[in-house]
Amino acid sequence: MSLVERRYAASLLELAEDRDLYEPFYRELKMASNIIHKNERLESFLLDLQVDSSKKKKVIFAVFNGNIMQELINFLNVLIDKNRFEYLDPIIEEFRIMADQKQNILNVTVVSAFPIDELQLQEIKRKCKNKYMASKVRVHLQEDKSLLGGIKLKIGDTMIDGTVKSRLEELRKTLLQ
Amino acid sequence: MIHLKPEEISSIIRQQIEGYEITAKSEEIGHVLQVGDGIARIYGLKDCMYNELLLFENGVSGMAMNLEEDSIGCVLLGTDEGISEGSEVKRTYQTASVPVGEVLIGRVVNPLGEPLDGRGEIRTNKRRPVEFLAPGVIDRKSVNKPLQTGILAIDSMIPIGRGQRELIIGDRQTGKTAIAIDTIINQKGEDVICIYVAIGQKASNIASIVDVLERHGAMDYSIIVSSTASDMSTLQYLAPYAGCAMAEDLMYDGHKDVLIVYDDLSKHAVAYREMALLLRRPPGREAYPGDVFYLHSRLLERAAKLSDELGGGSITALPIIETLAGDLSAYIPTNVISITDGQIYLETELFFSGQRPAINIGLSVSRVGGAAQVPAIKKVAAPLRINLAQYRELAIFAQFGSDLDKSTQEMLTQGDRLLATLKQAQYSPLSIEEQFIILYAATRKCLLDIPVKDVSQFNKDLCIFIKDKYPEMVETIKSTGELTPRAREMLRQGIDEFKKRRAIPLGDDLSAE
Repeated sequence: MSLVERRYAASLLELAEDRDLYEPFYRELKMASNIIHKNERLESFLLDLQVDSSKKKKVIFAVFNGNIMQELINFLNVLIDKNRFEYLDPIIEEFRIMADQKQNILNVTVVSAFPIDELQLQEIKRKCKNKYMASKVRVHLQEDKSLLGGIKLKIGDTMIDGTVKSRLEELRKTLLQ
Repeated sequence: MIHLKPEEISSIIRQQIEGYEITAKSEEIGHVLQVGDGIARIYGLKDCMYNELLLFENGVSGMAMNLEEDSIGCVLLGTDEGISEGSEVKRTYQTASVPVGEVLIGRVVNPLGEPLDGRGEIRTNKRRPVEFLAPGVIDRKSVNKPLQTGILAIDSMIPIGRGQRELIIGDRQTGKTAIAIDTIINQKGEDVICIYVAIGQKASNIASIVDVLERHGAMDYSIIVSSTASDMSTLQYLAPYAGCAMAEDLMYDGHKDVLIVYDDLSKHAVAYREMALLLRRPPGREAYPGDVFYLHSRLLERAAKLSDELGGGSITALPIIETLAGDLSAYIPTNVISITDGQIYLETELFFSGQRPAINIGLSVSRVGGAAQVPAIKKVAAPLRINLAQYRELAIFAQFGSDLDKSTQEMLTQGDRLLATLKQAQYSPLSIEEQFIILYAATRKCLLDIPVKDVSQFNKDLCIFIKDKYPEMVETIKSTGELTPRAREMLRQGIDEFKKRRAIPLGDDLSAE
């Protein structure tokens, strides 16, 4: 993540912190970004450097007023003023990471060969919560048939690998020695 | 070969499978942001160490060279095939290391210690990090034992001690490698292990060097670390450090004397420059990165003579530098000259005028080797350097006029004979006693009446004659390295005798001239 993204995300975070609005901020920004991306003409209009920024702001107001919080409209306006609108998505992502850190939310990616049932999911969540002393665990599920069985957890830079595939690999290495 | 029953093998395998621990392993992973030119940029791996080995999905490892705020700059030690954006990268918690030990002797390996000679895998569990701190002041001792190169000009005037770092510098095709190879060949029976590190050389050159060493029986005590011009710059960069790690093991653990040749460090600097530029480190003079001095100083500082408390042993380093058009003041040559304990400077003009080895005596120097030189040689070679210097001065002067007084004429004649004496064919190292006999005859003006073209044959025959007739004198020099009055008398007598004998069949030829 570049410095630009971090700077904007950090200021957004401070704003959210005052009123504990991490979740709504993220949700609404994500929604705004989706709307912009879905509408190609709107997107290219907002990204066009030749269009006057006051015109862009008018459009932003027209589209989003009443749908998202005033602070976020202001935020989009700031991005337009500073010619940083193209960084919107990375900033949102960075904001999310920073907000999770602030609230001690743990992001866990669970990769498995077969769908995981609710019971297993709760167990994974509970274990991760205890191990990392997180206030909340957010799980992202992924499926990968090549793992054959078992699960693989990715938490930040750490990967906990308990898949059949890696065990077979390990077995192959031991037998070859 | 012990015969194993099939069920025995499967039972072992079953045991292994049963005893195989089923545990999930925890690893630290990062992701590739960008890959290309042998460099990968990695996101994540916040705790990665500097110089740590990282493992990529395709089984290739890499070395973390740049630890930046958001990413890691990592150089790959193998192909980048199969690595793409988003590929996972695992930490290994280890820095780069190579297999070491005496099993490597006689082998040709790449900078990762993998065999290249097709003679099976290298069976050793001993490894050593390629980067290692050089021994400190207390751990060292000053050089006290000579490392005989077998080359008369070097052993007499630019003596090298065990533990010294002597630079061999010169243009292309001036015989730099030849000096190093001759030195390796001359270590036969000297209990010196030789390591030849080829950096960015033609594979055919390396193959012919291996062949030469094999033919002279020198592979029995040599290791070759080969990185060819087609290898990645990363491997070329690692090669000298890997060779040095192998040498260090033999020195620290085996207490052996080791000779290591880095051929050559100019290409090493170029390989490092390539890596540094691709890693976006800022370029400095001649586009080399700022730490190119440290690159070579930390390598050459690892050459040492260990103190007796540590059990002795030494690493003698012979780095080679290739200059362009004799330019000694380029960046890398000046750096390495200032790091080493002296240099042997080879010149194109000398080489093509037939003076081989083409050593420029005036510009070559050994700053510490004198302390270790064989006393007898030291004594007899003392006037050599000054005589040659005077000769050179006179020779230039004498070109302008023909009327020269007798003493000048004699000095020129003597100088011609001395230069002819210093000529030496490749792969024909001289032993200490041979060097002594030749030097004694030459410096005592015994060659004045010998035609220049016959000097080398005269020297050769003289050695054979003295060795045959006066084995006692030869033995004294060999065992003590000192010249006793008795030995001196015998040698003088021997030379006279030889010249008398020689004069008979040659007498007619001389008068005919």
